[in-house]
Amino acid sequence: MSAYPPIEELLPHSGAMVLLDELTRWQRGEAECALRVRERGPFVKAGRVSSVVALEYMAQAVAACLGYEALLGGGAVRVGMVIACKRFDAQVDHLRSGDLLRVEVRCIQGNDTLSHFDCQVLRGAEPMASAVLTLYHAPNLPAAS
Amino acid sequence: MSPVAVAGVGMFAPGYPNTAAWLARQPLAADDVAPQGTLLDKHSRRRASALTKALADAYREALLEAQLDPAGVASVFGLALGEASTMIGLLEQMWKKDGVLSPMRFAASVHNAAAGVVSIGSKNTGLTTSLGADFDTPAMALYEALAIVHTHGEPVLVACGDEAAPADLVTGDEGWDCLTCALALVPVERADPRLPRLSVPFRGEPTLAPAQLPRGFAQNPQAGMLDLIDALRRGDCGRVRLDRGRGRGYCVDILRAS
Repeated sequence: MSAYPPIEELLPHSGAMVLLDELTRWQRGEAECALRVRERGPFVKAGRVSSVVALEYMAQAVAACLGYEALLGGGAVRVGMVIACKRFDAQVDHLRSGDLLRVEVRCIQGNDTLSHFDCQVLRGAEPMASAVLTLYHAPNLPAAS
Repeated sequence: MSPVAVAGVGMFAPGYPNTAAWLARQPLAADDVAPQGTLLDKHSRRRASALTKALADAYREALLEAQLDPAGVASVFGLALGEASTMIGLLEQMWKKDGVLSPMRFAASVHNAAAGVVSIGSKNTGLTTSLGADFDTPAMALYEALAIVHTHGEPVLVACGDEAAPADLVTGDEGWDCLTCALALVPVERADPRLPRLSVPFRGEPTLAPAQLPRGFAQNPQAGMLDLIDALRRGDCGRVRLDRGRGRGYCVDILRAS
């Protein structure tokens, strides 16, 4: 059993858009999450998902990292927006349904408003994709107009 | 792709409102030199950001030197970050304040704002496009421009620029000052044979040393464009690296008729 709360409690996402399965390791500013690419998951076509979707895995792992930190501090899960992606490298064109992936994220600089995370997606020990994500944070979703 | 001719250059940076000021290395007080955006009509100038006006100034200088038709020339705009400070301001408004957005600021926040404003503000009906590729932005913008020159057989204006990096948006000590540069590229067969030529960007080893730049310019993702302008104006032949060692190693060759 995981030592961490269910992933749904750490992310602002819901339903099928929760692509991660669990938070597997955490320390302040760093996290590791796991997922198995679901055959019927979003973005999966004919058993394959474009490696560009790794960006969403990375973004959700960053959200889980910050979400758990917020829960430990007694706060609610915060929302964020990816505003930049630098140095995205994909070692494969696509991932396959059934792939068991590990997503590692590490904050390299940040404050309450903007942060930068070094992110990597691995299949076993094999790197699949990497990027540096820049995120804008806020306590709540913008008010609906 | 075969080389193209360089018929004009332009630039804007704090203290250096044009290429002549830069080549003389005689900076004016930065506060006295704001980008003017004189290429733009009054309405467009009013709504243009400082970055868009700086790009318009560099664009205009290259356009005038090359004597190209401002109403029809194709253009490529390369920005690593785009209108980042405007975008962050809008996010603050949306997420932390009343959420009421200015449509004008929204239009000015997108990555292709400069391409749109310069195109509309100079009544240009030619093709225009905008791209970003981090520290490889100059190389990718030139690649796109050469492809357009060869596809359409027409001149292309390439304008690359980034505003001073907004606080906290770039990591570590990577901050930089505003810098915009422009090149007017024309098909070789339509160019004065004395004009320097530029190869398609490729990954290789440079043979020309980069220019001596103040740190704030050297850190800007567009610094390689300034290195290229420096080499062109010095009359150099050889290979210029376009990313200052922080991208994927793209270079261009400057060729001249013997």
